[in-house]
Amino acid sequence: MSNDTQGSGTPKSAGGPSLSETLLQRPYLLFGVSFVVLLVVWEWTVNYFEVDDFIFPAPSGVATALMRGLFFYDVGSGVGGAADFMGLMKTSFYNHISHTLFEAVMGFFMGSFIGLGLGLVFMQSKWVEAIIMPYVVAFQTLPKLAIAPLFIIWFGYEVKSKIFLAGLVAFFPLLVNTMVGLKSAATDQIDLMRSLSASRWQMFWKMQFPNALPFIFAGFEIAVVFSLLGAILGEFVGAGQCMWGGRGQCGLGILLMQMSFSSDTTGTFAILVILSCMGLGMHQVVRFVKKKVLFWAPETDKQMGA
Amino acid sequence: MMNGYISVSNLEKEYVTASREIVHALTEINFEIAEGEFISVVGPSGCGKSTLLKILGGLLAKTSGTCTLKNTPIDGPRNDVGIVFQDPVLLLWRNVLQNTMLPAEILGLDAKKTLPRAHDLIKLVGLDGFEDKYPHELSGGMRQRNAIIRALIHDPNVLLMDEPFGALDAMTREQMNLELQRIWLESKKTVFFITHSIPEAVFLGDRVIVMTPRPGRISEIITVDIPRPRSLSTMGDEMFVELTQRIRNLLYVEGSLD
Ligand SMILES: Nc1ncnc2c1ncn2[C@@H]1O[C@H](COP(=O)(O)OP(=O)(O)OP(=O)(O)O)[C@@H](O)[C@H]1O
Ligand SMILES: [Mg+2]
Repeated sequence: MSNDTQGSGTPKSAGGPSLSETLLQRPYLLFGVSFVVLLVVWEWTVNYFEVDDFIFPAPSGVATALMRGLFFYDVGSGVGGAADFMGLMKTSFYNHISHTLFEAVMGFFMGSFIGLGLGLVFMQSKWVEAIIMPYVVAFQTLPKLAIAPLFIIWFGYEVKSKIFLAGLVAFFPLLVNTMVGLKSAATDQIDLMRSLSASRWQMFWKMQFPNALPFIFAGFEIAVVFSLLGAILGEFVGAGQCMWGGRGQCGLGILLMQMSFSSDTTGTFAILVILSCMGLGMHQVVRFVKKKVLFWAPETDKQMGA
Repeated sequence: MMNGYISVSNLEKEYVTASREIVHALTEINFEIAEGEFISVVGPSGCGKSTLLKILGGLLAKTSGTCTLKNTPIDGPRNDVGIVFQDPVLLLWRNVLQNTMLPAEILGLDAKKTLPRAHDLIKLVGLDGFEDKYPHELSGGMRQRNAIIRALIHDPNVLLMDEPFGALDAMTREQMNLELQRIWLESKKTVFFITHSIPEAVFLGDRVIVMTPRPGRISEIITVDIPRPRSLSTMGDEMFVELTQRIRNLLYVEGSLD
């Protein structure tokens, strides 16, 4: 408190940085602290009001379900009962995770690279852009949930339909961001290249394309999260057989549906934790590549912090 | 008399805006620039300075009149012209050396010859040691110096500069003025230099074109008879003060300086 009297010009006084300063300078530490506090409050609230697991499980219950699924291959609280009519619960978590991950990652690569490629092609001609753009916008505003059943009809219940659905939702962010990115070149930059009589090819590869990269990577960041969503959506609409390991049907989306049928709220929470970790992990991989590629872009610099 | 190195006569420029209005940006522009001459241009914002520069650089089509460089009409960008834009316009993914080399790359010049020249230029403007730094790692003044040597790498005969020092603080700016004078004295290029600063225009120019707006026209071309090299103390000389005052009067009579 004595800091205040010394004037605002010297935030760091002789006593070293205060606790609040330390926390603000280390976002990860701050997140860790707030997360622990959140868990404690959550646990306490659920216990204090004696909320039923079925309505809202305590974090300790979710953690137990998670551990059981990850280490003892024993999924959900309603194991073996009538709820487990598909044999889902006897299939390891890892089979479900690997299936969903496979669909999402394949879909991500397929969809985003096709989106990137088409974006590059469309922008070569103002005509193509003008003709294509309305369709792109119309298609983009269409809720993807509505298309999911069609994909099952066209591509079957197996993994193909999930990959294509994940691909579809990953496709648009890349298409749109690539197109916007290629258009983002400042008049000054175009004038610079023109003043050197740059060919169209040089204009594109030496200026337009690198200039679009921050937009393209923003697209990748969105697409990677969307692709996981697409895969889960595809699994919701139609379950597919396990391709490797495990019996019956595989996929976290299917497991999620199953748990909701059997009113296993604790198990559902455990799957949600896994899903958010997967999403976070995939996002981090993209961020990592982005930082390597876009080291020159001022925005990444700010986000990198220390 | 059409035998200047650069000749502009009866130049008119009209823009048609998106709402189909016609903006008369330049009218009755007439001047000649001798080879190796340093021409400064001053005038209030919107009087068509950048428009004139872009027409000279072949980036913008004129409405009527004639513009020639070495007796050939200017009808597109040319390799013997280097342009420094108002902003440095460095490519962010290229370091100092790569940005400097951009024109050489695009024009397909032999790197064996241009690379040593790039290093010389980098040294000339005091960027040595920063060859592999990227624009976001440079100060504003360093970026501007990078942009200037980029315009010099392919050794153009003509240098067109659009308020290159506008974004710099007064001290850096004076330093850059001295550096630019030095580069010009060493290379003897023909320079067309736009600025908002009257002292800067007088300090650097052999002649100063004073422009007035609506529509943009030349109100007077003033000869600066101060021996070179000029130093910062020149700005205290009687002749210097007199010239800047004269230009200031011209601008305040015809319109206001922003
Ligand atoms: N692309 C354009 N379309 C329509 N009008 C334009 C266009 N570019 C410039 N103008 C108009 O032409 C006039 C001259 O513009 P210009 O950019 O040449 O001025 P300037 O002297 O360089 O000004 P400043 O000192 O602010 O840079 C202005 O009135 C401007 O509004
Ligand atoms: Mg201008």
